[in-house]
Amino acid sequence: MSILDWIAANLGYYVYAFPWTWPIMETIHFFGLCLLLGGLIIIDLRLLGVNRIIPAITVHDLLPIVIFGFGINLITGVLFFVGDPHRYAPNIAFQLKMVLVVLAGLNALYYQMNIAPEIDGWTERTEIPMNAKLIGATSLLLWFGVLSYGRLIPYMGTG
Amino acid sequence: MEWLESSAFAEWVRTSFIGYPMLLTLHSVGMAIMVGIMFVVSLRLVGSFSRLPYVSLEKLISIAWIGFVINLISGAAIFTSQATFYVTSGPFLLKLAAVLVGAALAGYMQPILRREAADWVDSTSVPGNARTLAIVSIVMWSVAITTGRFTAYL
Repeated sequence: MSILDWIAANLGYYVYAFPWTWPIMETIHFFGLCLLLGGLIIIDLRLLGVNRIIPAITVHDLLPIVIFGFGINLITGVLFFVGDPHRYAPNIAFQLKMVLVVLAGLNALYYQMNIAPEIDGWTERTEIPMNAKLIGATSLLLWFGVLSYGRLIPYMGTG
Repeated sequence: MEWLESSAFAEWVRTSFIGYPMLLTLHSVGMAIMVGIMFVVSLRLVGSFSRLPYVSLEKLISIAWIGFVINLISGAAIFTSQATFYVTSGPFLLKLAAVLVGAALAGYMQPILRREAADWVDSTSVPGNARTLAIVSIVMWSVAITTGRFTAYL
């Protein structure tokens, strides 16, 4: 018995225990993505030099809702997988989405280590370093990729 | 509605390999931009993210409109594919109402922020009605997300 069979047989039932579980989880997943992307769009655009009126350091106030949105979607995402592991595991859109999530995580790690400590002193006129611009642009591309592949899971077939 | 649904364009949305998935994906991208940014703007007005300047909110709403336009276009295209269903769907009609009120609020708040936000020094100087509108905005977009998702199920 594969791990996917085991998950489906032993845990999947609970995800389907109530008739409205699935659409409710999807709705929560959408709330999570709006919080995650809403905060990130503002942070990443500021890294690209958009809305310089926002002192760069203050975009860090948005990190809690970004992380909260990610947390909501990690939990609901795991529940989707547990509820229907044989559909998700071989699905190419799901696989690509997971790859992009990991890359986005590495991108965020680079930001935390190399850019976040620097932005405290940035003013409206500070020339933004090229690596910060690249990190902002990469983050936007990766997360909109995550969103797009997620939405395409039902349409991109399996395998 | 029957005429709209039987148009060549509606047929393409329904049956082409990329039409419907592409429009749904665009619609989720537009949602993330419009609703995501309006959540941030509204939460700022009720006291969150205390260092984010009030004067920036008007500019953030300008960016949110990009998402709104994406969704107006993608939403209209999706609508054509099953027009006769959508006009009788309770969740869809509720969603449409919530989106219209949410967008009207964003359009109403933007010039107020442009004129007045520079005078707001901290959360105590935000007028009470701006806070109320922000809460209504959060509720409207929440209703829109929920009823939008449930349109596919009810």
